[in-house]
Amino acid sequence: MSEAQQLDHLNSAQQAVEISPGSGEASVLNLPGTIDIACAAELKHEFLNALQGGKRIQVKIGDVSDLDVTALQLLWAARRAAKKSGIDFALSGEPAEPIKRQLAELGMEDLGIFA
Amino acid sequence: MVQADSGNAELFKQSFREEAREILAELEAALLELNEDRGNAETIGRIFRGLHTIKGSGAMFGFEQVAAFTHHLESAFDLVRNGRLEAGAELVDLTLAALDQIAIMLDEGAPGGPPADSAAWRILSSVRRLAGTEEPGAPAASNGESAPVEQPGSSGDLRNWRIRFAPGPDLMRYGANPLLLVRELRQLGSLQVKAVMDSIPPLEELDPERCYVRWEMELGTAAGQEAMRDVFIFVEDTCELSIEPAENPLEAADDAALACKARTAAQALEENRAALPGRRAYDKPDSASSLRVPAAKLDQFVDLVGELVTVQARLSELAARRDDAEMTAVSEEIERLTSALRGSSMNIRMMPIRSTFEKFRRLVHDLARDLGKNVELAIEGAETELDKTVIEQLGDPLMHLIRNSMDHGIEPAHLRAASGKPAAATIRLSARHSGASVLVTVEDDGRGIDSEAVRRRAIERGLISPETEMTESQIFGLIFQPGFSTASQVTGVSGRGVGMDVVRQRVESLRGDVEVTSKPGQGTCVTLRLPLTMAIIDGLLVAVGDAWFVLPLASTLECIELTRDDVARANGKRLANVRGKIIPYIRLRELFRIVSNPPEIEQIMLVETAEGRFGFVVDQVVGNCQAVIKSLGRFYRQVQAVSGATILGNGTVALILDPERLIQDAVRAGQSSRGGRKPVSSGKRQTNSVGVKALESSSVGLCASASLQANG
Repeated sequence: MSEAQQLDHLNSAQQAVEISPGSGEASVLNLPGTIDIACAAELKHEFLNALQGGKRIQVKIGDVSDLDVTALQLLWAARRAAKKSGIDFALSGEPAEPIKRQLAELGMEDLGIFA
Repeated sequence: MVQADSGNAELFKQSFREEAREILAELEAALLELNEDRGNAETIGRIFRGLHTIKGSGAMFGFEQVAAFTHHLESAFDLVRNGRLEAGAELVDLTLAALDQIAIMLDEGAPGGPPADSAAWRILSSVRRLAGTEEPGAPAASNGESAPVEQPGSSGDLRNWRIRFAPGPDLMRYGANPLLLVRELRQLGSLQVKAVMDSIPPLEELDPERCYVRWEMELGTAAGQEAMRDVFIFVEDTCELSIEPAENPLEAADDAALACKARTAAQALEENRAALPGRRAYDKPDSASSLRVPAAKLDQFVDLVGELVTVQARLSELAARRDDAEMTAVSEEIERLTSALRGSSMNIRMMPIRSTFEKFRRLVHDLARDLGKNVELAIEGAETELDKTVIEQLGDPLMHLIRNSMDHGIEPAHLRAASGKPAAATIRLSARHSGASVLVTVEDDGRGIDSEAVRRRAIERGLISPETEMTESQIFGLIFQPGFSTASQVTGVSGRGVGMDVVRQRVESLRGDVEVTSKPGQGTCVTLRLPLTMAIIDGLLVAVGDAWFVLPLASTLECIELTRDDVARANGKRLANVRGKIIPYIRLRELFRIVSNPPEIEQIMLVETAEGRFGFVVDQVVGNCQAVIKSLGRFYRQVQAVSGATILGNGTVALILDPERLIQDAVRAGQSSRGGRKPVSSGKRQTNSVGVKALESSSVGLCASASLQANG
């Protein structure tokens, strides 16, 4: 991937993984359709920002149709970090069917990643 | 599948290409082995794994066409592995052709490009016909990722296996996806999967592209352990994998995982490490056992070492002149280090000749089929190491020699049977060290060379005069003359001409030589003697007048004095009496026409050559030197007695002599002028005057330019 393409990709990720300061006292993260290694660094950054904000965190997962292990371990680590700092971490929207299947296949269905 | 989605993707592709080419070479060797030993399960396993790796990595790096193509071969060999398909000659030949096709696809490098061309299709459909996996219409365009794994061999009983899989940190970066591995495993039987997250660090410290998750799985399957390992085949190098028969169900691991969740990650990580020290390969320091380095970088490195050796020689010289104890100490230390550095840099360039040798299995296989002969290739000493430049140049000469052996040396089956030889002929390819040289031998058990016929032909062609007396080895040497080949074919002699002059040319450009021995009816043996290294040699520095020469240390024996009385006693003959033995010598002063008066007492350097012991008369023996060989350029290429030049510590240039060649020329000149063994004769002057002139001017010219350099 060329540098320009990479930038494009990051930009699109940035647009998608956006934090809206509104909706009351929550930071809202809207996850894009595909979350994979290409936007993992960006996603980590957004999670850290949201945690630093100190407000409760709402992650919208309704659009997600494809993800990989890097995304899953990020979600897992973010939830754990929120819990440790006493920040409410909630997902909104039902994970798509293929995502649920993928979790089951990877043996992660009981880890509460999408609870 | 997630592609290697980073700026490094092209790099990965290149590295896949290189890896795939290596695997193809291995596969070729394995297939040919299989051809000899049809039922060998280990060989079949190797072939299957090789194909599987190409398929898997191919798909991973976006070579979908390669992956899809290889998939069908893999399927066929899975059947072979399970004993449901016989590995016949047809399958081996088809697969060999298919490997060529894969190599073409790799070169074209059109990942997922246009559909395979007709040749590839023909091969595929033949393989599928053999394997009985033919489908009506076009075969499914499987792209590796979704390629169905063949039904596991159901030979074994249903067993439970415990699989622990901890991916390497870069798994995701390489574009691999654990999900696909799990899916592939699931096709082998009933699978329970448990992800273990306890290695994930706190969010701030987490490297988002690294894979921290590991998996514990239990698989109920009838497939063997090998089938399970095959799933992980292209991540195996970088991951921790254990596959063992399961005693207890997964609960224990369950508990552990739950307990871990309750603790902080840091604690868990620590405990984990304490409990299972060194569990993961990447917790240990990186210990890659080998590196892949572009050859150009290596050449540059060796060039720099060469420069360093030259500068070091200057430093030593300077230190010797200054007579400063401290400086001498530093200079000696640098000399020691430079010498060690030189040794190890030369060593880096050494590689085993195996790959070059193995390449010929295919040649022999294909040629034997084309010629309708039954020939086996035996390889010995494939682990022998040679300078990479030498190895690169060796392919062509060896190919010509083997072709010749197969074409002309080895008799047709009926003739072999008539002379009571085994039906299968053998060509023996071997390599071994001998002093500072490596001997590479091509030997066959064919009809041998008829030396009388060669001699007759040489006389007809005017290469030698009818009354020339020649030893057998000299006669065999004639077959390397350019143009001799066609003649030998016309007369129906055993042949041995095609490309033979190319062989000698190439080997001599490597500072090596060729020797042929042959027994009529029993076979022929061609030995190539090659230098171990091409870049730097240990030499002995000698002086004649104000000119300097280097003799390779390996060929020098001893040094004796030559007084004017000695010369007078020999009655003008250039012979020295060394402890009762008469040894002929060559005066370098005369050979190079150096105009100056010789000292009262000269020195004779004795050297050992294939022609026997000879001496070189010089004014002074200066001492040891490490000579960095610089080529003399195209203009002096015909001057074969000089193998190069080197720059000395004081900035002057010394010519590196090839004693072997000097003596050969002298002996030949002596014979053709019928002057006995007198080395430098008038005949020599005539035949070699160009060479001598060139030597002279090169010596003078180089010396002049070198002193300019030194002054500037």
